[in-house]
Amino acid sequence: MGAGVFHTLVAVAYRGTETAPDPVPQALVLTGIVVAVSATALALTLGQRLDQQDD
Amino acid sequence: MRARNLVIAVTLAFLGIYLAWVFLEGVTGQTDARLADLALARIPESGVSNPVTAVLLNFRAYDTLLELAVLLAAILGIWSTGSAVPGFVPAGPVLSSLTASVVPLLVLTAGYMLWVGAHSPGGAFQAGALLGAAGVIMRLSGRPNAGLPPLPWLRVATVLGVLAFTVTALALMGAGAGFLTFPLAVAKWVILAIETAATLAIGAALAAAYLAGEPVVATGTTATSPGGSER
Amino acid sequence: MTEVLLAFDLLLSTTLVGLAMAALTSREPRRAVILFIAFGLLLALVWARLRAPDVALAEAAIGAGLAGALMLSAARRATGSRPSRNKTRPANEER
Repeated sequence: MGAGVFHTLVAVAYRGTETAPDPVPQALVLTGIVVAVSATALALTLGQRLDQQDD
Repeated sequence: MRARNLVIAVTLAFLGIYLAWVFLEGVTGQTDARLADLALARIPESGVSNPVTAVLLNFRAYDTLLELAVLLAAILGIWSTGSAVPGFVPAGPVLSSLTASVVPLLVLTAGYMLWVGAHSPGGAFQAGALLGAAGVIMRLSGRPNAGLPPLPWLRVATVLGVLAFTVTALALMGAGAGFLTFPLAVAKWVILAIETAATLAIGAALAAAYLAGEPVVATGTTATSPGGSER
Repeated sequence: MTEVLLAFDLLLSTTLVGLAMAALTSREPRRAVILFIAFGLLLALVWARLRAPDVALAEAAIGAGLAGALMLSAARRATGSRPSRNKTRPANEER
């Protein structure tokens, strides 16, 4: 789903100008990727801890 | 209960449509406020010539600062869940010699990415990711702490991005420019300094995230890692 | 030239959607993660086609590479600690 949102943003950025793509949405997406990965890492670690507690 | 859910859904849908409209208007609208023209026209004032780096580190520096803070918060969250899981078994000769040649190459490429980000694709995130990948490879080849420095230094490294960003911004504010406003004369070097700190922080944070817990204080050599549970 | 590019774009987007659905519907964690990595790498190609090389680099390195490595180790621990819980069918049927 996150990838879908990113995709829409960059597609809009591409459409925006014919000559040079808009750098603002690209920067937003770049930030978004890093934030998404940090959230994923935290979630995976929490999930593993839960798993360990179950055992 | 059902009616309330419906109200929430409709409100959220309207909010989403409104946000999308605002975004589209900012990006594709025919008004003077189009973001692309605004950003592209002011690139000469930013100190770098790669538009994406200009937006990330200068025009929208707040976003990047807060993003580094999010990364830091995620790492602190991971560390607060307990200590790292046991390390991998020490690598065989082929993998360790491969690691020995690939890791310096990755660090070199990270430095290149960092430098080249000022005028062509690249920058702190990509360089940081390469450093993180170097850490993952070292972990996979048997180093329990993924080649990361001892814990006190690791703490410094993870905070470094946010710290350098804030200190530079505050110093510039003290010098008369605004918070996160870089004067053109020093902009290039300020951006490069912040990017270097951010690269180290991102690399350390991503490699630390792969450990899935606070690194265990290493007392012995890598051979003592209680391997066997993972391959 | 434009026809070739159009065909390439079409192929790329259909493969992307196919990979995404395969990753989401896969029951075995390891298989899902590998599909996710493939998805991320193709997505990086799409960014390059949309003339966003910065995003393409970040996606390939962070989105596919590091996130993939994180998920792979998590998947291994999940299946390693409990071989029977994550599947309704025997594991060897999935391959």
